[in-house]
Amino acid sequence: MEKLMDAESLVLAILDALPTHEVHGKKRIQKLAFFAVQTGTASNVRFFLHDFGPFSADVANAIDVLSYVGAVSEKEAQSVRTKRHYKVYRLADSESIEQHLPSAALNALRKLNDYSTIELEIASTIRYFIQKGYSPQAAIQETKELKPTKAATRIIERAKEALAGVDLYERGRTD
Amino acid sequence: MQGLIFMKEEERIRCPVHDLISFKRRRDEDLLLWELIQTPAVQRLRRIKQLGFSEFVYPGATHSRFSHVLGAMQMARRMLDVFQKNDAFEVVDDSIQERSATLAAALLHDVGHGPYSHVFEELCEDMGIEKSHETYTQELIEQSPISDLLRRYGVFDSTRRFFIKEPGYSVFNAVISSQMDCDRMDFLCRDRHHTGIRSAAIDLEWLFDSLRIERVPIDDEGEVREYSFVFAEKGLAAAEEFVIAYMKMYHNVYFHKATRGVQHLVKDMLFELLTNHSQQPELRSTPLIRFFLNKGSLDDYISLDDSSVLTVAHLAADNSWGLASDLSRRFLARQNYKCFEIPGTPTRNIGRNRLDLFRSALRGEEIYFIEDILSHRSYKQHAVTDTDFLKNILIKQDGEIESLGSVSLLLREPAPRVARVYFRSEADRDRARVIFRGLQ
Repeated sequence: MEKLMDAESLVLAILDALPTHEVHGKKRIQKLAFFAVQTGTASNVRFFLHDFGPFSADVANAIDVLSYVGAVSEKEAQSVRTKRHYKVYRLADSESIEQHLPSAALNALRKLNDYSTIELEIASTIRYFIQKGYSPQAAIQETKELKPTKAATRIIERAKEALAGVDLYERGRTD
Repeated sequence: MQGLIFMKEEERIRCPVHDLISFKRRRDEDLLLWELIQTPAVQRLRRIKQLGFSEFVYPGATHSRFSHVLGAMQMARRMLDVFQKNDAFEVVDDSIQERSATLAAALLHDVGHGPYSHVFEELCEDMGIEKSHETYTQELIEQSPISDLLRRYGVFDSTRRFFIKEPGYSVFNAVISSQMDCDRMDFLCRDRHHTGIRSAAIDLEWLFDSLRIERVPIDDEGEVREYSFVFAEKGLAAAEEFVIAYMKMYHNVYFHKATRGVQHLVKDMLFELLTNHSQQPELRSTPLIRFFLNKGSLDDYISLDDSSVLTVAHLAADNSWGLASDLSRRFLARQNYKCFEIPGTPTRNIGRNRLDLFRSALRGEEIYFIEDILSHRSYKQHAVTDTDFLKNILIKQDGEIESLGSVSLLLREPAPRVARVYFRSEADRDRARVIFRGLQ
């Protein structure tokens, strides 16, 4: 039987799956972890609707643990263009990764990594509602209610495109 | 407007932190707040301790969430008074309504907290109840009598908005949710007062004196501006002290190792009771067990308070329900879990291999343990393009408005992490220490 990934292994596998082995911001790791599970990674990590989007305390804790033990480096950075401050999480040693994402999740994550964090945030919230049984349209409506500023039309369109690109813009995929 | 409850010309509440908090009958805003205070949902907060198990370390820290929400409301009043000081009433068309809604939100912001809040929420997640205290807050606001009151004063939608949506660009949202919001202003002062801690002081008077309302650029080009709270330059030191106080309180109080130990012990106790003994006749009828048997209904939730946890602890302690009874007796007698703090190294990490070996060795010897690796709270810098930008603490320096994180050298240090492992017995903890030292 396939071994379920715990939160630490999931975070490491996500960083390992990305070409640069790094992710900007904890929120982005949360979203990628959510999508890794949605696209077929067998994991015991649970997501709940917190702070208006899917969130896993297990993943948040895992990031802290992995940073503490040096498996993931955490550095503060600032964008020159936007002056935005963010944390960069980078895999310290890809040789030590024991569990990898299944190919479907790996491919999905690489596609989703082209989207901005806000687009992933909106996409993950839409997907969360679809998974709860909402139709895609109702899920978008619910997301707009929750995130009126962020769920601008352009972002919603990009989020829909992101979900469709990894076959998650429909009911039933992993329900 | 005439309120539905009796209210004297002026009602006063004596607060140990903010002195007199008064309500005048002739002011609709105060009538609403006074009526909200009388609702069962707000009164329930008298029976929930603000700091949960911190009293196991700081015996004075038995103050309630009720006293905190009153204090938060008072802090919100003082923040909103800055509008008057700045003649900034043009900020919104209906500033009177927005003010009332913001004060109501300050008073109601914790109304959905359960007993021993964070332990309880983790337990809910473990038991498959997918509702946070924020969700219960929202549900309580949407149901009678709170919803009726808010509707009667015409502020239902504007109050509810604070709890159901992401914060947008609004000066009023900054009062309820930002890095220096009314919640944080009150709990830092109040928790310091009741714990007796002498460090982590906050100069509230200077902070308020330095506070202004300004139009702040929220895009890179500075073309789009929104009203927000901004500190005059003279407030820089007090603002820094505020953030440092926040970090110190996390280190010394909220994440105190003994408090965390009790939290783990009680969570284990409740989990054991719920998974193995919830059908015991004595337990089935208690509000706490009923809440979980009924899958987290709101009606059951509002009957919960700290006594619900103590009731089941006493029942378990008086019975012979194995581990649950043992943990209950330990909880009541303050026989805490034992903590091993993983020693830091010059690079401040121990290496994942070593941690994994440590975990494997503990499991191999069948030693029960709980890992508790914490990243301490620090100042969070939001970018100018981020919708959370106005959550920053903003300072006006040389005519430019900057986030505190950009101008303060003191706040640039990364927050320290602490790694702890908890054990049920001293023997296990001592054995773990030996194992860890052997893993060089």
